Amino acid sequence: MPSKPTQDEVVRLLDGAYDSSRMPSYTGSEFLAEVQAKALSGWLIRGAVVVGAAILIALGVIGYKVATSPPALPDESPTLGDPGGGQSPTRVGDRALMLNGD
Amino acid sequence: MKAIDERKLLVRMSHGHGPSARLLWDLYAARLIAFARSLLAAQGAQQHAEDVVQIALCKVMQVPTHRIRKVQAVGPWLFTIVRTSALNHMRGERREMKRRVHAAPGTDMGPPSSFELLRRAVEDLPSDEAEVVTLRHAGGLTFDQVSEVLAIPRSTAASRYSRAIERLREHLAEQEEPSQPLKFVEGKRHAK
Repeated sequence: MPSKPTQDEVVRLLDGAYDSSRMPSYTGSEFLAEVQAKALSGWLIRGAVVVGAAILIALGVIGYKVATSPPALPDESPTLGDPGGGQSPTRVGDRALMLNGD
Repeated sequence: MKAIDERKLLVRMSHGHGPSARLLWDLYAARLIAFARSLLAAQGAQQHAEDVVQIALCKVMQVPTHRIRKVQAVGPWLFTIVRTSALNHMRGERREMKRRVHAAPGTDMGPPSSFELLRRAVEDLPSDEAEVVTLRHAGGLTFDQVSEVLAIPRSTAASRYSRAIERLREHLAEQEEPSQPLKFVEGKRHAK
């Protein structure tokens, strides 16, 4: 009749059996691929946010410049409604005299 | 050597940090798979253990960072998630049992080592005992942590463990005799 190992011996054997150096190794390829995919999607999202922010900033800058730029100078060439081609200094002066009533 | 902050590893992994995921895998995979095998053995589906663990860890990646930061002990938490994943897998397996053909167990090359044989003997224990043994020895968990993972009282975990050790003692004694391999079924052993 073979002797039963003691409880302590069994516990020791179990510790040995589940020691990390004696355990089989696993690749975990699918899980690690999933992590990579998540990292990639994270970068894509971050990239999209950065690009989106850059576009918004650029649009803001352009809009500001358009809003604050001086209006375009009137065309110097004579038009049909105003044969004189805009107000001359003399005519402006005349109008000022009229307003003053002198 | 600087202790690894496993919670930080989990957070980084959940953000898709490859090296953290690799490190976590190296730290826990074999132990989690041993635990999953002990559960899946009840259906002879040990070969799915790695898949189950991978699915469980992919689920971990979906957990929000603020919840990961609240995890007290990473080990027991991971074992709990793997257990849920294995039980879900087993429920699915039961549905597919009729049309599924089991792969032959033990596809590794060469004769199994004595440690491998002992791990298989643990898998042959009744699953409630096998999971306590693997959580204790593969997971390195205390009885308090085991009872937390299995949602059972500490005393129940301890008595299951004692029963399992007793069965393994008998099994090892019989292994010394030239006899047929021992099989544990539903808490009772087959008579020789």
